[in-house]
Amino acid sequence: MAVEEVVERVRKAVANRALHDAVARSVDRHSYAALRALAPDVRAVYKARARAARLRSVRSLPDLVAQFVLRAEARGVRVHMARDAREAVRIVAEIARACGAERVVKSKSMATEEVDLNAHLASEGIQVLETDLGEYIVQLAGQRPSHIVAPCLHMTRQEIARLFSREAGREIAEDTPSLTAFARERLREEFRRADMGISGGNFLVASDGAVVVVTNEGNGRMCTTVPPVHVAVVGVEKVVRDYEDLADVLRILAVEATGQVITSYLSIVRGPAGPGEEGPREVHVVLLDAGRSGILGGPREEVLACIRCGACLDICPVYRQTGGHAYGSVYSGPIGAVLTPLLREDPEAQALPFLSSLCGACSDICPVGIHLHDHLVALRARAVDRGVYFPQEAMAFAALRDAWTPPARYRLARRLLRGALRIGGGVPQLRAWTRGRRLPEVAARHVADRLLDEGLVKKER
Amino acid sequence: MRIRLFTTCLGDIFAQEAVLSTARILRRLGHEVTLPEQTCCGQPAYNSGFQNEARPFIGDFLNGFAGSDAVVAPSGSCVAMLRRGLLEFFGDDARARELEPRVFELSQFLLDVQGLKAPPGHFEARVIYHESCHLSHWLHEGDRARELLAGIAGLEVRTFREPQLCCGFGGTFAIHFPDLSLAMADEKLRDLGDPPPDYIVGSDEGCLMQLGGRLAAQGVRRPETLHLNVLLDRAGVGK
Repeated sequence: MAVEEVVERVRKAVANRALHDAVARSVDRHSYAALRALAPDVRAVYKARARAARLRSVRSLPDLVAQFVLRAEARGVRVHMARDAREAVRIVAEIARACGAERVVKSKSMATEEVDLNAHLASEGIQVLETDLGEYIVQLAGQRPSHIVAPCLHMTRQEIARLFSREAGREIAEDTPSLTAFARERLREEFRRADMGISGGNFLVASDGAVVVVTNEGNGRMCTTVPPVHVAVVGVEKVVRDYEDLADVLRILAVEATGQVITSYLSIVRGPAGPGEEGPREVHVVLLDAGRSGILGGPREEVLACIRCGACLDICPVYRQTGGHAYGSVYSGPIGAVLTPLLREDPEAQALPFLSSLCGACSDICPVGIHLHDHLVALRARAVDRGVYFPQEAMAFAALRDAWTPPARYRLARRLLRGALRIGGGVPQLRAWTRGRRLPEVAARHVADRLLDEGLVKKER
Repeated sequence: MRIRLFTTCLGDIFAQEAVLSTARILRRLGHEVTLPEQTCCGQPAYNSGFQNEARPFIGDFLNGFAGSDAVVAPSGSCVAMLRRGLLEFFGDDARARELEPRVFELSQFLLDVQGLKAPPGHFEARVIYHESCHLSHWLHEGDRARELLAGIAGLEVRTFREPQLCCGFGGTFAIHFPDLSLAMADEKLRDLGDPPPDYIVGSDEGCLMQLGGRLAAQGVRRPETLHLNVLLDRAGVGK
């Protein structure tokens, strides 16, 4: 069953304490930096403006996408609509074939992770090299990103040095300058030789037909400018109305993601290079739907406002223990547990909303005010409707309802509870509690009787 | 004021002192406290995705408590559930809409309705205050309940370094993901300080069962857990 797979992945992740230490260190660094970056009242204003801008976009998404396509094409950008993952990889593969690309450099794209682009291009004989430092490391390790902003956040510096040493065929020291020096040297050559560059896109500006890429390393910009062909694969919900709305969103994105008041690199791709200009001669934008339109107009619509800052992952007490891979999804943490079951139909995806203590810290931190814990609760109900729930719970909760409602029955059940717990001490649910935790004594009498005895309350009816 | 007490099932079954203290404090402040027929708030079913099974619990609450001036419970978690359930399941019933904003966790009632500010009292102890998630994030109260401790003589209060970190209880979550839930408790408990405080104080019995149950299983005697309402009662708040 689907929930068991999630439970098992979580159990393994939790058993790995080194993973917890690496994740906790990184998310704390992000969270504290974010906290220091803005005064609370300023943050409140920024959040309100970012939310307004994003909701405006989501609520008129089809119109803004149409406008984006019109403006982008007018400037010579070729825009492709991909209804699903299969179409997206087919489109990118066709572009690669048409320009005879064999070597591709890629940077900063969760959308291409979502459609599993690398594997598909590899099966067509096209090599894709990840060039974002974190994504490069994860690719070398044969893994997937574990965090939407910091892909290798789950790894230690020592692990990275070992990977690099293996790749280099010589010892690479584990200090940051040595590690980045190796990556730079290795990647520079690849940028020069690449036939095609693939990027994601943090936003699409409808009024100007522009793709906006936010990075901290500049490698993303190498992908969009050095190779002769640039393909941006972007989720269709990333569109914003104009540059004013973009500014409202960017103002909070870097703060929440890494605690920077502004990002290091902001690339605005407005089309292919004209005569005498440097840059790619072809620019393509693949607009990925893959389930997003289905969310529009429904009760989960605001989820599309997400700006992928990762703040909800960083604050999440569950993510802190498990890291991202335990979610078994490209998108992890609270937003992943909400978004994944909306984008994917499989039972395992439907089980993800259960992976939360529903503490609600995510909803408070979200810079665009997505009510994540409310969506988690609602998606649990949807999962149950689809037959995805923990073993025996349908029976157990029906029994509890019948035993505890109306109140007269609760009274009766309450009287029998001590005995029932003693007899039922072996049920798995209770054992799950008592393994590692002591259960307090069950009070012998109903509390109402004690309240009345002490003369503290008057009984009604 | 005539106040109806919602005892909560955890309060009835495991934490009766918190319920008794809640009633005592309200009585000392001059209120009449009454006890309608009641059951659980239905949260275990609701948070596990079984909304049809949760609905009758809220229905019973509505039947027993409609028309109240104020309802007070010793748990932010149950209050969050009751408020949400009233609007979600019975939002088209005027009685439910009227009742919803009148359901309070004790600290909310004392601060906002009673208008208490750092009430005087006396309680000799060093405590660490645990911010329960449902009070701080679901009911958006943050750590305001701490204001109630500020005027108590003899009390030394500190907070966890990461106050927003959930203790890992989460109701059925603790049973669905036991290892994860324990790891979350352990992370919280690593921050008790040395020497440890006398009590972990919080206003939700679920959190206290989680943290206290973990400590007890490890044979740790100090700190003990203490419900905020019991502390306020013993400190003589409202006298």
